[in-house]
Amino acid sequence: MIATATTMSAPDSLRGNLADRQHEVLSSLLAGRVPAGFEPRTATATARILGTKRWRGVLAADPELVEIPQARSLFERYAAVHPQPECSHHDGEAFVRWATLNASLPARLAAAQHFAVQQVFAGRRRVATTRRHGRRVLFVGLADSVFELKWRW
Amino acid sequence: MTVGRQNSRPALTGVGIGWRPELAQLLDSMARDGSLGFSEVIAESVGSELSPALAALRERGVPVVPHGVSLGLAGAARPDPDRIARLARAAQLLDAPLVSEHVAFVRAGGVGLHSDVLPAGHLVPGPRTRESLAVLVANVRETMAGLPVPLALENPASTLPWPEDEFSEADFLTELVERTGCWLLLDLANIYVSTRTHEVVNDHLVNRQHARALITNPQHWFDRLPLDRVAYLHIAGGAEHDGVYTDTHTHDLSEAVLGVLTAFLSRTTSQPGVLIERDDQLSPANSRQEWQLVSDTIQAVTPDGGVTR
Repeated sequence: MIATATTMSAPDSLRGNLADRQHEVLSSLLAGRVPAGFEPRTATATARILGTKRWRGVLAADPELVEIPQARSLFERYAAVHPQPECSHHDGEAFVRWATLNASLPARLAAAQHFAVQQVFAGRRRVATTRRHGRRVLFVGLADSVFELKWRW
Repeated sequence: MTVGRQNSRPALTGVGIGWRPELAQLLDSMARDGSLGFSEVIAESVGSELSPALAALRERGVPVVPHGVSLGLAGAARPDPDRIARLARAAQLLDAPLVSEHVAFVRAGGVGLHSDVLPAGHLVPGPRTRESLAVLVANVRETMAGLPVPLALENPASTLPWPEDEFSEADFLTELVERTGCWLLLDLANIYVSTRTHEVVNDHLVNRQHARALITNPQHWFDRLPLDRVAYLHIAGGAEHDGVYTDTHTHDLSEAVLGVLTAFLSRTTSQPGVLIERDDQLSPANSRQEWQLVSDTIQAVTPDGGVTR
């Protein structure tokens, strides 16, 4: 086929229509829904892939999230109603805040402790305590540093 | 007017392994014994200087292709000039024969009503319509104009057929190549994903146009694609979940995916390089084993062909 145009541009109307359509479909998938007209199994598989990648992104930014009981399933609930931001770190912070309000015990307590630790690292709190790998840990913020003190038992 | 194109296929031959820090020692060893055909690095991970291990690989004469994952060329927005510039810099640092990206979108919106950008966190295949093709062609041309080397585009893992699809994947890619002069990075595992996906969707057909857009046989791809425009190949493992096969880049290479490689090699006299992708469950022993498996498969189809550089 011989190309009939060398222009680099595509009409704004085409871009606008495509943007609307992709936004509509992606929003559904990220919320764990099958977009209208799509085959259910393949759309569900794609939604699962997107969810897994989003979870892996927040875990890479904050590996200690796994200390929150049922973190993965809680995250799925959170992700269904919260669009993914560009930054996985912010996504993880927002998830923890959400979990402090919406999770059941003991996950809610773990999330609250995790949130408190995040506040120490952000310089908005001096001291926080939580459990890591079964041990109690104390985080203390002094000047520009955060010190981590672990109990022996 | 004929689109200008580079007629010589960029020089990538033999069997390569995707660059991962965990495999640095193995790749260096294979570079020294001449068995490593080439490698590929995620372009966005290349900084202002090459890491010592990557620089060493280049010093041993191994071609390394920067493989971008963030342009989102099948998206509605024009490609970000900064991202194009970054891809170009990676190509220059590596003295790469080409760069590669994907026929996929990675963020939605950023245009018109949706000025907000919704990240996908994944390479999502878009709809294959005349309108989306026009946007894709414009994006690819703009990207090619900003690069110092040729551009190869990869077919995505299509687990998401859109109800409005008008083109088969092979026809869509063929149109793209004809209109832009770009090269193809043919992902054989993704071809297998697509054929398996379309078997599932066949049970859910909504109209005859949709049926025409589906291909359930890899040979059909090779009937339609301009095989002389394939710059290199990808191959990777995958797995099935709830009846849908996905390319996980975690599992071992399967007989079925190696079968797609055999089918491709049987259809063309050119022997583009084959790059093995693996993102997880990495080990030097596993990677070396996969290299041997792919090399043996190529040797079985093309006995006179070698797999060394």
